[in-house]
Amino acid sequence: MNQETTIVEEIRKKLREYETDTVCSLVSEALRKQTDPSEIIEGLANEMKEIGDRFNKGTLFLFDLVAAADVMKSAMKALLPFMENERAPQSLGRFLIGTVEGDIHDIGKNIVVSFLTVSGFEVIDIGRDQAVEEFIQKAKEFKPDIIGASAMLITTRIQQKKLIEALTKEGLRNRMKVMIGGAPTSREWAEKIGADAYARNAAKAAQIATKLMATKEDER
Amino acid sequence: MRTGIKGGQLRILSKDQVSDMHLAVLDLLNDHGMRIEEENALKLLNEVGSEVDFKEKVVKFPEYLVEEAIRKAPRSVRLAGRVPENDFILEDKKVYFRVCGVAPNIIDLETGLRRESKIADVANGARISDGLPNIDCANEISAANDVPLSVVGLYKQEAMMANTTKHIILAREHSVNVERIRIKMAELVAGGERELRKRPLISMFVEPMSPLFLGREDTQAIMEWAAAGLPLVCVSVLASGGTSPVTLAGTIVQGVAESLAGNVIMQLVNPGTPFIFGLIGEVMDMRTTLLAKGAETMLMCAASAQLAHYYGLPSIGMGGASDSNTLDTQAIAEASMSMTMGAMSGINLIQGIGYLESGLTGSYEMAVICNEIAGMLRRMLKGIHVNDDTLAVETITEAGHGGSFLGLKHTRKHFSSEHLLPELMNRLPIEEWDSKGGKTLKEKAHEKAVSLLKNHFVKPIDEDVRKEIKLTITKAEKSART
Repeated sequence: MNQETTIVEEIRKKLREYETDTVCSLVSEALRKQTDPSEIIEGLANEMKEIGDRFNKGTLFLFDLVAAADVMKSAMKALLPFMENERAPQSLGRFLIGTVEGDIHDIGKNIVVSFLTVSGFEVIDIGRDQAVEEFIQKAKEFKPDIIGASAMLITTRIQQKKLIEALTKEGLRNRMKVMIGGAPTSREWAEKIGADAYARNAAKAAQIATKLMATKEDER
Repeated sequence: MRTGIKGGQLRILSKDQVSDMHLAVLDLLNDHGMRIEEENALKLLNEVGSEVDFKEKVVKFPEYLVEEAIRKAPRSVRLAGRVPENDFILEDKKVYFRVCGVAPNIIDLETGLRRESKIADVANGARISDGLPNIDCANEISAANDVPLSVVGLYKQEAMMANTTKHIILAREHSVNVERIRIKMAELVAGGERELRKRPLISMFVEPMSPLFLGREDTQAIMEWAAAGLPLVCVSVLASGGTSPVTLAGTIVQGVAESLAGNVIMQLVNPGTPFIFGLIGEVMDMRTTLLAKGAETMLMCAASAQLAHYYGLPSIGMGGASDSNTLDTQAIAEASMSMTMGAMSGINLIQGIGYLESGLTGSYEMAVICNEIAGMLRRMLKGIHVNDDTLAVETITEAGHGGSFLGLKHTRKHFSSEHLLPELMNRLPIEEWDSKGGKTLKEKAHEKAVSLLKNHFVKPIDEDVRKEIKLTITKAEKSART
């Protein structure tokens, strides 16, 4: 038991140092030694939470967060086959995200992905320049709790509206929350098109998504 | 003809550093290349000896191609106004100022509150900047959210052309390909294709996406405008630490590569296409993700000016913008610092004037204040004239010990060329200032903006031409709908 605690501790330490390869090999080693996968995930999640807290305090920076999220992503990939159901047990919720059609700007969306990962979301990133149909198809496939659409251009944000219309038409709108973001978007725009929330930046996106999950629980 | 004053007194890079950067740019373009999502451009580049991966759409530019394209681009570019008095020429180290750009929001002139911007704001932005004497290039200050998206670029162009006789640099609207129609609209105003080419009233601003990515529509716009022989800006906005290296040198190298890659396409399509070089280096704030225009942006603007001089290419850079959310002391501190840095480095066109909130909001009042700053900068760039007459030993002698210069002819003769009389900056003694309402610069700028909108006359476009432009837009709108 003592040794297992040590290896989870070691995994946490290497996550703090953003050592993807070491974290992944330690995860494999821990699994070989019969460590409960959920214990590893809990360790990783707790470390991520601490990283998030330190970011909020201003002692860690955006690049720390992105690096940590990347390590987390790789570690989860290694862990997934060992988990009993496909949904990560510690996950705060499932978040499907993409940049809308006609928009090749995706750095903002990528940062949101990192923040969501750090906050404990299971994130499905469908990439940039994605048509509404693609969003819908992926939403049917992955059944996310929240769907997020990013637009960087005044001429592409209309796709966010189209997405919400399509979700309604497909009968999916009530099953998931919709969040929007990107430079030309605003709270007013979110209200106008009937999105559940707008986030001004990545940190806000993660906070709001967490809150949305709480209201989603209440609605159940 | 508008005159630009020579800048370039400030050099932040040594000759060796400039040359090191250029070599790094050539390496980057040759070894790593640029992703260009336009089949015809790929073919064109392939034909002249670039290594093209058609599957990945990545072009590796041989050194000679990049350098040849720099030589083919003209060293001076005329940006014409609707009236010849407003023509100006980007060349050497001459400095000009441009109001900008495409902010999705505007500070409402009446309420003072931030709101989504509309087509009327585009018109107002053009009219206000037309009335500001130190602004050379009038533009929209904001975007337009209340016209059909498919033809928003046409509506904006119409609004701008009607409300200014100064040169207009159009933003590439990311909607349907309307470039042909936009050129046509300008031809109508200019009086024909040849006339427009000779005195281009409009030019196009294309923004490659960092890192090293030219989208299909951007590339098509480059090819279309180059074929028409009209001026093209190819400048990317880089977020150091996010979309470009965290090091400023690396961000500059990447930005230069992105700009020069665009020029290669232009010069292949049409040798001699007027190209405006540059980069807008911003930093990603690692606490908030905001794309900030701080000290680093100013340094990178100065560095890009030096590279432009090294290449002999006309240039554009960022100045007069702020990360502040409101028109406050931060806004003016950042605007004046960046404009000063740009002017002293000799970047040809300082653009971004009037931007708040890192470019998400436009402010008319800020544009008015920046016009005032631009006036001061023009005076600073003129420098100190040194000759026997200005050294004035005889005049000092004439005034005598403890005497006065007020009554001397020398004072009357040189006053207007030596002293600038600012319009809005306070020079009133406190009692008089108090009695006139004790107004701050911001309040005075507001009044000036309101008065320009009300009273500034802009020579209208001929009725027939206006009708034809309207018709063109209606037609385009209809065909976009079907």
